[in-house]
Amino acid sequence: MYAGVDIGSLVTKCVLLENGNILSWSIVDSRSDPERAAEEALGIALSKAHTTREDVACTVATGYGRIALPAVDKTVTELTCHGRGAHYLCPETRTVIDIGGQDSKVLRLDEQGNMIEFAMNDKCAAGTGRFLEVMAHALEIELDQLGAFSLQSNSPVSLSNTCAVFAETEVISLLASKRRKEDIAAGIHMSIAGRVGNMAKSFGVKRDLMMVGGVAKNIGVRKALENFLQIEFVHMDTDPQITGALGAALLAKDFFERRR
Amino acid sequence: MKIRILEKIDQLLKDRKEEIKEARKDGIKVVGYLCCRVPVELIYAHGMIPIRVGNAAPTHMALGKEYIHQFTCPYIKSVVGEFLDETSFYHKNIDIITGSVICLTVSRALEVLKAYTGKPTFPIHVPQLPPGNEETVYFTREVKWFSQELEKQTGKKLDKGKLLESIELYNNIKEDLEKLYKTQSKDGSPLTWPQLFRLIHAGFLLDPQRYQTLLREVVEEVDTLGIQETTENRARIMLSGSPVLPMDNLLIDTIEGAGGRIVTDTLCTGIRTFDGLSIEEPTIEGIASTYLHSCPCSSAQDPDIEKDRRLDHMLKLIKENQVDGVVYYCLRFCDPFAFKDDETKAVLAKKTGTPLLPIHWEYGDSYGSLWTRVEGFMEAIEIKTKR
Repeated sequence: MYAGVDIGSLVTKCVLLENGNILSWSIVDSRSDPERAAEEALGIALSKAHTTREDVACTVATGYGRIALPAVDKTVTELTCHGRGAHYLCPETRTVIDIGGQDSKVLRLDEQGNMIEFAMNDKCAAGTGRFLEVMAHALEIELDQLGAFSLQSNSPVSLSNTCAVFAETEVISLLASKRRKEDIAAGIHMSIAGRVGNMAKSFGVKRDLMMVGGVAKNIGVRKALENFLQIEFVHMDTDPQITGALGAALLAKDFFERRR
Repeated sequence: MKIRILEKIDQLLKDRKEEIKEARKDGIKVVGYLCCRVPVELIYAHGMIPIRVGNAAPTHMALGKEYIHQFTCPYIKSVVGEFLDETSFYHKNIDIITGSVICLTVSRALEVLKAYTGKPTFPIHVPQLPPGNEETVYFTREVKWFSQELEKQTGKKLDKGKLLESIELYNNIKEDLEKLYKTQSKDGSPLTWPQLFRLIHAGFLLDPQRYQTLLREVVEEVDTLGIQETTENRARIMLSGSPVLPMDNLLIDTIEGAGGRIVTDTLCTGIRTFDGLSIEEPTIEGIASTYLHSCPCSSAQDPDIEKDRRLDHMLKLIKENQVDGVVYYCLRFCDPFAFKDDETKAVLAKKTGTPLLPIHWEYGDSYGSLWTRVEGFMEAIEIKTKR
């Protein structure tokens, strides 16, 4: 059995892999304590699988908090791990878009699922989950309902500000002008799709295209990005947020077998 | 490997500052210069002390921002701040400031420094286009003008004998740097690129004769140690892009810590301080021609991308040094390099298949994101080269 732990700045994920299949997985809040979050995520995944730490042959950590973990076998960047995880879920994947809480990335994969090239944005919140959090708060809508809500619009409002902070001010001003909330929500999704979509276009999109990371659970962003890029994302049955941890677990298996 | 002679550098640099203060009491003037295209041997031939200014200490950036626009690179903000700090070495000991204004930010820095320090400043106009007849005439005139201005500062005509001596001295320095550069690139070299880089920076301040002696000692020690047997197999990296200044070690340490080994560079604070800069004809015309024909920075314009001097230089060094990947450094607001990151990446991919990682950076940026990018790049290279 192998474990992959993806310690993000906001959320930590763990996947247990056995016989090449996902045995169990977990998602917990990171709460600025990567070591505790990793232990908690691993503990929950082990508990769900009715097994213990001793049965784990190898653990790979990835994500922002990977450097903080002393007791793992190997650390690998989330760039490589997301690539590997995406390839497992759909071997025809050649481009991966990952929108996380505080950054967004585009990855190019080869046929074996190796990450061979990437682009990253972690300087600007406008293309990240943080942008949606801020906007959900401004619209007074639950974050996990924001995407579906945006799809109710027939007439999206175009936001002129590219900065998340100024865009929040703009949204408040639009609300005061009695613009419909669903139209503003749709505009917000178009805005984030434009930011990430431009990064992807500039990088080059090769089919098949997969979207991973927490924001992939937002149907509004998925649709807006598909519309912007004029390409559909591959369908995923697995929670897209665990893709990195899944890739880490697969790499743990590779690493263990190479060592043997 | 420990190179014993290099341990002397800190003390030499400290002593040098005291020497300069003493020399100024004897009326010798100090010329602070920005840019590797400033003909340093000419300054020395005039009996003046050349110092290449600039470092990555954040101390002076805040002060620099009070005098120069925020949309300038951290290197220039830091230089301006250091000159305006009345307690600093630059403020107290540098009499004249000069730089190549092929970069508009350097041009602006000279204007600001002239206005606020009152020190004489001499902007040297290096042509942007590839050197043809007109560019050669123009630049020769610029170098002559620069020499005449230095004569006015010293009150003495340029002595041809001193010019010849200075050119020979600096040619010897460059020859030794080239030797050491070739050695450090070899597998098993006792000297590493980061060590050589630090040695190059020592030359920005040290007296050239003292520096030449130091270099000779390093060459001898490295020759004695010889190339070692090694099984090391790290990715061979070129560091390219914006100036990497003295004390700007984070990216270098990150590359080396993430499993890469820097074996070459195209930096104006590295190889371009000596590569192609040996002067054959010991005259003003010879100096102008040599500097004009050396590899320019990204501020230059090469209308034909197939004959782009900067790109050709990169490709040559990639092949000579078996480079696996290029880390391309773009300091914030260093537009000449930032604007060309995509085309540089595309040309390398087409001509040699060498991957390029752009790092857009400002002093004080998040270490975590730098580490992820560099480590991810090394992971991709590992797959590509099957290391």
